[in-house]
Amino acid sequence: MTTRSSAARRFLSQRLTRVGLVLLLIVAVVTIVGPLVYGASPTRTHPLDAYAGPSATYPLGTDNLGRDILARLLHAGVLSIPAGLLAVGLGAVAGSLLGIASGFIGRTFDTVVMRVVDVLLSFPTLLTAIVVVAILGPSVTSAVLAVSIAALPSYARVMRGSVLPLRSAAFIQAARVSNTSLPRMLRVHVLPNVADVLIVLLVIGMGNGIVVLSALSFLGIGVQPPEADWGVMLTEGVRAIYTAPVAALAPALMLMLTVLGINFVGEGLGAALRVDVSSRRPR
Amino acid sequence: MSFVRFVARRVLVTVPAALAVLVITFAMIRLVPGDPVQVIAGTNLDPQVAEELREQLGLNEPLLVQFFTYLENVLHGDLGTSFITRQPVADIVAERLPNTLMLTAAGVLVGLLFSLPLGIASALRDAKRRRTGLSFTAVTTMLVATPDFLLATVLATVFAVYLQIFPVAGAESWTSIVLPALALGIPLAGVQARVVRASVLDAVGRPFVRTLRAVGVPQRRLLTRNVLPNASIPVVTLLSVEFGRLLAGALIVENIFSWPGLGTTIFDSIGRRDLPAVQGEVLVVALLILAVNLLIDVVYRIIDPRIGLT
Amino acid sequence: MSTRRRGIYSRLVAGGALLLMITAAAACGSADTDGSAGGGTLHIAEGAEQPTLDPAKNIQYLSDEMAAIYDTLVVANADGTIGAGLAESWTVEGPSITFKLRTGVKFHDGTPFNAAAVKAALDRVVDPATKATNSKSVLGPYDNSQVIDDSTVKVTWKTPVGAALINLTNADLSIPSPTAASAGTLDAKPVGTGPYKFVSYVKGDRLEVERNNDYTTIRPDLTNKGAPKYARIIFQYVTNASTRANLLTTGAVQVAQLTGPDAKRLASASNLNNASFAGVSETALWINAKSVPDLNVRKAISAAIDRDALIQAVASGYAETNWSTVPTIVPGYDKTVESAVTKYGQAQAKSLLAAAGYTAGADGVMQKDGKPLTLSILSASDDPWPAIDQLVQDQLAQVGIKAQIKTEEFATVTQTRRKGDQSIYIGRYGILDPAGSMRILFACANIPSAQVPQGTNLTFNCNPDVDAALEQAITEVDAAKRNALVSRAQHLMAADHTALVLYQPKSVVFSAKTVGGIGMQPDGILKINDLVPAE
Repeated sequence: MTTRSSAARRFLSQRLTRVGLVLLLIVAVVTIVGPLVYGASPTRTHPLDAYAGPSATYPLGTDNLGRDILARLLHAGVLSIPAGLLAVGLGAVAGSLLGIASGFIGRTFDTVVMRVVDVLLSFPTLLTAIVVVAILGPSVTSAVLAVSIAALPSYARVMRGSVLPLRSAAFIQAARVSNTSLPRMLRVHVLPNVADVLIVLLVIGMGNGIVVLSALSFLGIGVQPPEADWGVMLTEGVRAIYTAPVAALAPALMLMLTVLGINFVGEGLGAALRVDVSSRRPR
Repeated sequence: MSFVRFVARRVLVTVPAALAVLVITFAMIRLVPGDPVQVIAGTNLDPQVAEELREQLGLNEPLLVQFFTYLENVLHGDLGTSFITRQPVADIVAERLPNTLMLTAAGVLVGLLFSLPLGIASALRDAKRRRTGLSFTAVTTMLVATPDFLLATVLATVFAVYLQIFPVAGAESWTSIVLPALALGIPLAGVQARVVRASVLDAVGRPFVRTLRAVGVPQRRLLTRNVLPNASIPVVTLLSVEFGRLLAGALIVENIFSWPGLGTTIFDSIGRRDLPAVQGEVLVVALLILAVNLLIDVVYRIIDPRIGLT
Repeated sequence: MSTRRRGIYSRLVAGGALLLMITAAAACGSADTDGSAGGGTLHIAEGAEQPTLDPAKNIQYLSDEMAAIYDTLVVANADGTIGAGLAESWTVEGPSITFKLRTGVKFHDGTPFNAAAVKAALDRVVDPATKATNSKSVLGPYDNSQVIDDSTVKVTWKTPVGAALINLTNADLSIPSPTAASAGTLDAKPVGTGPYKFVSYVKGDRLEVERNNDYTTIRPDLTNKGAPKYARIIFQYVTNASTRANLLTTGAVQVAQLTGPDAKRLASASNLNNASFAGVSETALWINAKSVPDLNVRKAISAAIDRDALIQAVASGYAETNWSTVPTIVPGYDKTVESAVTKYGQAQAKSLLAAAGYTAGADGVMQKDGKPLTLSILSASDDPWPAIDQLVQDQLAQVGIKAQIKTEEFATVTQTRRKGDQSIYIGRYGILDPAGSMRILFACANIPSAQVPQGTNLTFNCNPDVDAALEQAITEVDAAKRNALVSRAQHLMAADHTALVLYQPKSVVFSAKTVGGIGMQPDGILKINDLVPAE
């Protein structure tokens, strides 16, 4: 218990954590308070004002259909963050568990799981996504599922790679000899030792998930128009990046702030755990 | 288990995996909605001609018959003929694969060039201070989190349009590969640097490394002999995963730089429901991924012979 | 910050910069040797690639490359009349056309062009072994060709085909060398009679052709009747529009077509010319008459949509309004149809809805008997469709019609749209032969159903009068009578308000100031032989 509470203290004392929390707070305020304060409609088109630059009427200018970019940006946040996090989170958790188990248990189980992962890795995300949409219909759920399936194999393989060297480590051998149960062995001896790599991958993946999701928007899955998340705004904006850069750069900046915030907090967590882990590692 | 037996067994288990890819691809591309004849036809094809075409393409055969014909052909090394271009699928793959391999290798190389020094330097510094550098996290995060189309567009704008140092598009000269390779490699470098750093930190913290350092083994020797080999497994794994992903997934970068690779080809084949092309292209990519992962498992074994793989 | 950290980072940054500079320096060294426009080589960037170089097996006809290598029997003039090509003259008698062919023309492989070559080309299209697709559909109910003498051939159809000559202008019915065709090598090494000879082809990358020094033509639509003015043309395949624009700005290519924001971006570039040409494709909105049976509601939808706004926002101004279902440059187009279509006016849209029995509900959505007026919009999910969907959706909302958008990947949507669950489908179609194309698009027999799974009539509306007019037009060989029938069909379609043309996109060709003679055929293919170095 003492290690746990001291880990929490270390977590909060990290400079990374504090900067990250501030960034996330800014994003939260913008997406929650923003739409309440700024009243312009995010969906009303003004075709004759398309790609207008920033002005008093449109503080950030307008997009391809003459919609207020600021209004869209503020409304889009709520849609952007949860789906991206969930998508990669699901894939990462499932993939990592599979990879850890596969690497640790070894033998036939490992062979089968890893070949399945190879097979999954071989399918283009596009094909997987079309199949998922065909079964579930176009929705955010389909998009989230398609991205998790796409993310799963990487996590499985990398985590398996991290677990492999542990299998021959002395403390694991000792634990095996002393008849420690498998779940306990994984929890006490394996997980803490691969936490570093896992956290890095998770944190990076979650940020990236928001962007990957938007890449599927051309399949008509994910957020349905005229709603948009930052990823979709970015995808639409890039088409006209030479004539109206704000349409792409504004959502890119919001995404960047969010991802940076998540990464800082994640790294802060990693750093706090690392000290914790090394003190717990059996000698 | 001897090394040779290990490799032989490992090769053997990829066969069912390849077969599974073949079966699943065949099923998936037929299960999804969309009819190849409709795509070929557009809005202006006579329904009667469409029916004839369906017959010619063998789409009226029962699915099982179609599958076993396909399987038999593949076993004879025949990947079939594209519905759209009427070209043997093997030729399409043979034309595109070298470009794809070249770009993937260049992308991975860019990733390593940036990530290895960055990750190792950051880990060695932080190992002493027990904290993570804010700027390291910020830099690597930004590398990863810049969406590929934005990065590719910015690279093209700066280096091809304004500075005109590199070609805008195409694959004629060797300089054409620089911008697409950067666009692929830079995000990769971000992830890779983080994993390198985490793995090195982990290895540095191992008791035997601490012991060796305590008895006065020089830092450089410690790094090359003990730390890096121990840190390399997750890095090598990540590399293999990214390699697989880039083989079929360099879509946007290929599109922006007009790089004639497999990514756009697979994408187009799926979009047009060009069944033989999708099957052949996915199968070849799958075989490559299986081969790379086979290689990686062999490398694991060389790095750490105690890893008893199946 | 510690000095040590700065050391590591600055060294890394310096290392990276150095690496970049080395590759850059090396790149500069080699850049001068290629890519320059001199030496009579023209670089054209193409947004799409023909699937195969064999015209009979092709599935699209908008290919500049095919037109460079091959010629057609006849050509379409800008005024809708037919001009001479490989055929000098022709006479139509019922279901037969007798062509008098040019003499002294040779294919690139030395094979003489003659009546036997024409017969071989057309017979090949209908031969099942060829597995022809679009070309077979375009050729129609072909029966046989008869070689009268070396320079005379009589082509006969099973029934009279009013659009036979228009169809023969289609590049998919180009005449290839019979020698190469029977060798089965047209895919890999196309041989035609065109102004340029095939040199090399790397699929997905580039196609290179060289001047046919012996080339002459009697095509009335071309200015240059002799050999081409460029020694070589390199067609580069660049699907990404912004990349094509970048290639133009840097001078790596001299000719390319652009649309939307990219066209707008380069419209004022000082080193480029641009020219726009009317096209034969329509961006349209199909109203499903089964889902929206009330004519007043369909008229209200038409009145809710501001076409000019769509042209500005989606097509960046590079399009024209067209009120007919037939493109403005196609023979038989009738301008007077305009009066039959309900035009933009929100007040009128609301009064039409009122006439249909709708009143505004509390939330602003129109309702009738307590049921809100909600529609569904279906389209493909690639550009420009989602933008159009959203603009239409918002314009409908402004008159109290609530619409839900569903977008799907193109191949999927080709199937979904035939189920007819949508109230509105947004997409595009192309028309060269108005009667034949309109029949495919709007005939009762082509309404998708369990019996007609391949149906193409997305209005889901059966108007027997439209059918009758089109059936007559298809077999009518007298141009004036045929045009009158096509005009009648247009008026009927306009009155039904089931297929609303949103706009007619223009082709915009950008070219370096060093290139002259930019022109375009009605079917959207560049007049390749007219391209000439300026100065």
